Amino acid sequence: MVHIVPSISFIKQLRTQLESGLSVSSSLKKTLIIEDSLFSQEVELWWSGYRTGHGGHWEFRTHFEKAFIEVLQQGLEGAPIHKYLLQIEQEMQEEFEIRWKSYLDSLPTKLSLPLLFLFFPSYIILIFGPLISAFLKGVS
Amino acid sequence: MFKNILISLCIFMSVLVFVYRIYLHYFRQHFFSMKFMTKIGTFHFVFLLILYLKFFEETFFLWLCGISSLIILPSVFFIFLKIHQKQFHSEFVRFLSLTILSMQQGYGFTSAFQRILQTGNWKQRRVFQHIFDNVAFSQQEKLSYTGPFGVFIDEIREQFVEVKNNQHQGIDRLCNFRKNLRDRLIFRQKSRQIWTFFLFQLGILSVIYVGIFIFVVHEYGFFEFKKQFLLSFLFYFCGVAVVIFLAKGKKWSI
Repeated sequence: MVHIVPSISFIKQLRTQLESGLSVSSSLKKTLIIEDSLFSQEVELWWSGYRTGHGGHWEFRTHFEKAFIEVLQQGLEGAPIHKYLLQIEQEMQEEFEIRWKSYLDSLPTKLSLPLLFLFFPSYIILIFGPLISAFLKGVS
Repeated sequence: MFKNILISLCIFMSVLVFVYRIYLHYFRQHFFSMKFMTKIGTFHFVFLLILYLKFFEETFFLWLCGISSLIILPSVFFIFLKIHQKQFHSEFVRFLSLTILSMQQGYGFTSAFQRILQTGNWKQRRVFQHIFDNVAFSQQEKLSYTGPFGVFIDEIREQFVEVKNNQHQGIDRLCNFRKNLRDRLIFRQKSRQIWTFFLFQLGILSVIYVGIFIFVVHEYGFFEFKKQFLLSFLFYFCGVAVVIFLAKGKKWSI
């Protein structure tokens, strides 16, 4: 099943792996194999940079991504991170719910644009096109 | 005659290429196995071949039937698979809940699994049994189930093997797994909600459009005003494209 929010799915998977008793790096490795998304690829890139000692590079799009990478870095250095991952996951889900509701509210407005500029003219042409054409033919 | 046969052959080949691309896409999405893809692909090929032999002199019919088969057959197949997949996921979550309840009553994982499998009326009993046999008797071999739920079944199997090997935290692990599955189902329902909204709007608009079109053609005729109809259809088609783009283009970067 493809998740509609890949970052939440990734963190959830990582947390599940940690709960099964694996270390942070093994959990991350396993999660990277299981998760197949752009977010997962970015984490993989960051991790390879981190492992080589050049410092992982990441262009953060959201503050959640930044928080996640900071927590992950701490975890790779040996700190316990399960609690923080759970918190980030919950906050991300709450954020998703808020955005989801506002997106649903904005849908009728968004749909009104193609309705007004594309569907409505198509109906007008369909109904009045033959009439106007016949009228013009009659006048000429 | 020869020219017609050549044009028909070109149509036949191009439709065949599209058929192959569509089925390959479904195969890559793990909707079906290679074996099933071969079967359905052969069926489609034979269908197109019969069409070609029957209508090789009438290229219009060949186009019409070829493109209709391209749209209808994979679409029906896709809808059927999606419904089946949804049923499987929700049934499995129920199955998992009952297994957890049995384990909480004191049964071991394998006996709880078998007990629930035998007592309930499960539509996917065969798949559940297959998973159970694999987890219980052949731990070294991978399940290699390549049906429409192949990836999902692999995940289930992996979780069950872990539970079987670590019985002391089995209930917690299964509860976690169930929670993850429920979350995913909720997310999918939300994604579907958007599509339903857009498809419903498009359906109503299309019904109105077709109704008006039939009425206008009936009243004024078709060939005399075909330019107006074409222009109207272009606007309508652009509208449909924009709506699909709006429905598909949403990315949730959180």
